[in-house]
Amino acid sequence: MSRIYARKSGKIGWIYVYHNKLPNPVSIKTLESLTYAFEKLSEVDAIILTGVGKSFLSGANIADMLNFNYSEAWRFSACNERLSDTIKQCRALTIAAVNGYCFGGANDIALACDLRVAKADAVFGHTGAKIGILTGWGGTYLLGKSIGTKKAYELFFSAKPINVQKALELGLVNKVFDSEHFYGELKQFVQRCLSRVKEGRGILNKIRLIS
Amino acid sequence: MRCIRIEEFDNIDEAVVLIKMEDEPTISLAEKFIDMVDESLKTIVLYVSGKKSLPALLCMGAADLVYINKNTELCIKKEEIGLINDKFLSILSGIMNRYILTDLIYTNRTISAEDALRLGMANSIAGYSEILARFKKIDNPPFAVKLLKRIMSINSGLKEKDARFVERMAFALSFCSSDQKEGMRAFLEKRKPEFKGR
Repeated sequence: MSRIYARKSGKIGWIYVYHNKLPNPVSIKTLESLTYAFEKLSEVDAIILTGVGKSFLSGANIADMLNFNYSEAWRFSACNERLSDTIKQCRALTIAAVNGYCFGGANDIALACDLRVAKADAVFGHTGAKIGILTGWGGTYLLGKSIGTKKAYELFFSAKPINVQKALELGLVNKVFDSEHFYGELKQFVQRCLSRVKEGRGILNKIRLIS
Repeated sequence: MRCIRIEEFDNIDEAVVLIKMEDEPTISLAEKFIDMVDESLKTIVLYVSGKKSLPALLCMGAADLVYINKNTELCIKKEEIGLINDKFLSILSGIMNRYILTDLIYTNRTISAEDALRLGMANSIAGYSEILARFKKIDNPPFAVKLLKRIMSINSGLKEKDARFVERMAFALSFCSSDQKEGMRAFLEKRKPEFKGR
């Protein structure tokens, strides 16, 4: 199971997802903890969501999902609703800092944030088609809006992972940072964003509505 | 996977269909193609090459995946402007923004293969043999991919909240398919899944 750790550093809120083992499955508990962390950091100007280790988040636990019926699958998909709404209603600029593997539902959570930055060795993928499902946390809508429906369809259909350069080319990530200096470059990037936070705040919620 | 010409689109059983468009289709054929794609749960892959105009653009808008040759040039001819009805407009606005569309109509602009790729009108630029080889290797997609096609089409016209609701229904529905059980079992058993499309 994943553990969520949140801290405030000046005007920046950090949410770290720690993994006990890889790949890191996202459980309902993880989503509740993430929602709580975003709510708790309501006073900051920017919130950074990142993973610790090799993975950002890695989607759901397949063994748990195998025997889901319609209602259980519905509930599992619905449990992300509160997190998405909380991220969308955040006063702060939200940034997904993708530090490693980012598959399935993890992509949907990253897409719910305002900006996505990634480590040079991060890997993205929507591999649901390989296991006979589609994504259930908003990805079919958000990915289409982010990179265009044809390219989004290709990612879902092929179920193949893509590297960070491809993600940048597609517009899935806004910026890529060197692996060795990831957190340093991330901090500088956030500081640059903060220098415009006063001007941007008024329009941020309107931009979120466009998507 | 089956490779056909656009005229042969009817009565195909395969889940993935690759259509090679060499000649410009007529508007009526393009319209028939759009309707058939809209009703179909197959994955429609379109390969376009050479100089093309409105009918091809409409087919590109309707197809799920579009690959183009590097020599592809896209335009809207002066005599085709009057044929753009509300339905066509909706399809065209799905593959290009209104500024590009205005440009095509008023300035006689030609979109190159590189531009089409950059604008998101195509998935990639490649030779036909490369695309053929790529799709020949593709296995039968699961039932969820059929749902995906419909969901993405429906969701493109919805607000996020409604789109999430539709997606949730499709996600839950995919758990009623035998392909979901097969896919997840295969993943856990570290083997290749054998999807039946249901």
